Amino acid sequence: MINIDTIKEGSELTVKLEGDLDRTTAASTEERVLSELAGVEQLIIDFDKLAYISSAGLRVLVKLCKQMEGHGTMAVINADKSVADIISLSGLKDYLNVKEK
Amino acid sequence: MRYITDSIDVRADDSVFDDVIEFIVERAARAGLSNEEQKQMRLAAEELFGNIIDHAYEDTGDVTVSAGQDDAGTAFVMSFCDHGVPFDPTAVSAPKAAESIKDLKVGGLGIFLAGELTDEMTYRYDGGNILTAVKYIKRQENRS
Repeated sequence: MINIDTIKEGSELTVKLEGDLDRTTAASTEERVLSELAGVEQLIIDFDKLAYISSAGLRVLVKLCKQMEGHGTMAVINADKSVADIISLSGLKDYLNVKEK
Repeated sequence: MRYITDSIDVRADDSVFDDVIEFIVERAARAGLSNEEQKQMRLAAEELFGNIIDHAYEDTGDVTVSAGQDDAGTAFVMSFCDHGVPFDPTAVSAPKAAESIKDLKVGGLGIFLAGELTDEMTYRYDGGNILTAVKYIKRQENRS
């Protein structure tokens, strides 16, 4: 289960994710965020209420980061330790701008 | 190593994905793994069962999922058996680093994570793919 809440302020889009970013929720999450990216220069993914991430969720982050490449920035904020540990373990921390809680 | 396990027979299909994950996490809890370790086994199971759904069969086929504590009470053991295309997940190499996000490829990431989050992962082919993953059970006094 995942709840997605988006806030657009000018060219900044904040995406608040609550629940699990996994095999069952990755595709719909990616589709929703991509549909709101027009004109966005700063994409902020807020993990404050994200409890779990798997490789399917990590692929979504990589896809969004690639999408922003060249015309904006992306940051992942408020990741809890277990989620941040999975991002580190995957080797993606160097590519994704991740800030822990 | 002998196992005290339960098993379920399912189809390699996303319709049973949540049931398989619930089965694994419930058995991991019963074996005495911590909440964090249960979450790690959830992730390993998602990656391993998800890989079977995506790649083992042209359409779908049978999978036997087993999970439980070993008879010495020292480890949680889960195994996945399918009769699809022979495939050894333990031979998958770690994702390669790239110069930039643009060049990054994340194939094999899930299997890599499953290997990293378990203490042992072994594969054998015996009329089907049999993948066994083990997580050692820490004694309570060693828990932080």
